[in-house]
Amino acid sequence: MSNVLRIARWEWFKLRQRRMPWVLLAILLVFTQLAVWGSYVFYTSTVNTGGRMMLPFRPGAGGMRTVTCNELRSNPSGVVPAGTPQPAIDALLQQCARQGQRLAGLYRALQPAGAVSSALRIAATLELLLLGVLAAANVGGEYGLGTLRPILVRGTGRLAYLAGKYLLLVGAATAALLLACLAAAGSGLLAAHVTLPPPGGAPAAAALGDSVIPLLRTWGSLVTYLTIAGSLTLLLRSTAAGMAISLAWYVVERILIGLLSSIFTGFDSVANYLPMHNISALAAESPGPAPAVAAAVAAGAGAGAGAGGSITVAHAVYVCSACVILFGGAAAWVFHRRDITGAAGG
Amino acid sequence: MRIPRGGVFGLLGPNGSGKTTTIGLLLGLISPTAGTIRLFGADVRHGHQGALRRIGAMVESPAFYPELSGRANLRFFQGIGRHGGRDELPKLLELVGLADRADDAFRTYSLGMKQRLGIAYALLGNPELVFLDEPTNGLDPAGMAEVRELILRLAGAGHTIVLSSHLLHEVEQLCDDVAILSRGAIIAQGKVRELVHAQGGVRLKTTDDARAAQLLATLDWSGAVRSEDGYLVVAAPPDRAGEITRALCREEVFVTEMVPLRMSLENYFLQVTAREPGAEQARQ
Repeated sequence: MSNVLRIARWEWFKLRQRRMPWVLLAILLVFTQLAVWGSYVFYTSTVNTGGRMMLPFRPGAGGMRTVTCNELRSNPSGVVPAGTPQPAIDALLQQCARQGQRLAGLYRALQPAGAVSSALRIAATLELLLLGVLAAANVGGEYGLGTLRPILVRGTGRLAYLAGKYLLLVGAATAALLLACLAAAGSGLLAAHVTLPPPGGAPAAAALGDSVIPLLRTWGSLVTYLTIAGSLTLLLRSTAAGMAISLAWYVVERILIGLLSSIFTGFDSVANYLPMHNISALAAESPGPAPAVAAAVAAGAGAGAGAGGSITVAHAVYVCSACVILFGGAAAWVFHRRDITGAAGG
Repeated sequence: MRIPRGGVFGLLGPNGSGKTTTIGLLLGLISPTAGTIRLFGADVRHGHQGALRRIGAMVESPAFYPELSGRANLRFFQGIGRHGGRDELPKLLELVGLADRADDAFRTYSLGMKQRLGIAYALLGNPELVFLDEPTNGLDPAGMAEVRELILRLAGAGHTIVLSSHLLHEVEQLCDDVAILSRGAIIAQGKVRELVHAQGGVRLKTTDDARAAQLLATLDWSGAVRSEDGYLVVAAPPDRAGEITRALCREEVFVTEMVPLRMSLENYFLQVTAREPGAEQARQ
């Protein structure tokens, strides 16, 4: 074990001097911060007006104008077009009440626990993909440069070296996740300090402790994907191929599930055992509301609708664990037996 | 294969003869399909990490991390191999002439500098046995001379160097002992001097060549005697020329001209590899 830890330490020595991991970390931090501060901008622009809606100048006439909910609440008959029936005015007021609830949700997302929740949503997709890139580059780079030979000649032992490298990647994934959450919590603390509560009063904020289970689940999904991406790269001995296949698998599996489930009625039960489906299911739940900005960022990063579907957490944990054992085991078996040649490039 | 302790041992062979494969097998990078390999007594298939700590190797072209400096690369390989102290690096960098450029990124190094860093890597942890596979590959003449001089210095410092090369004049210059591989098998092995000299000869002219030929044929250490362009050519080690003169003088046959014929390692190599079955096909 001390050998594996030592190898992980020296792998870190090498990794930290490269630009790529820092660029990937910066991307993750920018997007998680964007979720918090994007929500802040959206909230502050909405809270002063209570929300906005579009109304016609006259009932049934063309042309629209913007009215604020605060105006509607204070003087409904003065804001709505003349002749608007009372039920329609009541419906507009209800719509404003819903906007108030949405404001309360946004306000909760600006609290530390809400900000962590947003960060976890983004990490579940964006960090996942960034880790795929890092794992493929880290494992495939050794084949491309031909550096496995000088490493193994130093007497590290093949399995110990692989375990050390994997440990480093898991450590990097964990550190990046914690850093993103801490930075989001810090930003949440600051945002909560400078933000006025919504008109209906400050809603009860979620406790930071509620984020522990979602954090662990997101971490589990990251480790599973990391193992798959790293193992595929090792089996293919190519950074480009490993990166392309692991990223494509993440996207294509979702598309295929949607397509095949609509054609074959029984395909859902097959889909429940597919890796990416379970990875998404494991990371799907986060406490608190999904702020618009976090949801948009996560969607932009490839999180499809219905991630996880009917899969239970326990089922996702079993499938993800099986994937880690299967892919990790296959990579270890092949790495232990395969001849090591010179630089392969790419 | 017997590699004497100390000095430079040459591993020769045509392309595809199995030089790099042999080194790969010894280092555990390639799995043998049959047989066993023991290195310092440890079976390479069943964990020979301890033995590997006594070995340094540069196999083919040196592979390092391009974005790391030369020093950081050495530090990494030193740390991951768990042997050698921090004070070793400046000495090694000095030894291979890279002290001034040690903190520059590896990608900025010239081919010669990369080869020299590869040699420094092979010497990490002060190994007893150092494998250098084509260490002068791609170098200009000045670079080659530098690396050869470095190899001789290392051998002088007590390291055992196994030099794999197909540059025969280089091996002849540097190596004390040599093994010649062909199609994965050793076809000749021994001291360079002995292998080459055993194949040498002496060309001479005497006062009575016919009598001289008869006399030389009776010497138990000489080989065939033939007539060539008005000279006698006797297959015998050139350093026994004195004994030839003495033997002829005793019978009142006097040498008027004598030239030692030294066979180069290149000629010897071509001779022994040409005898191998399939050599002609391999060359084609």
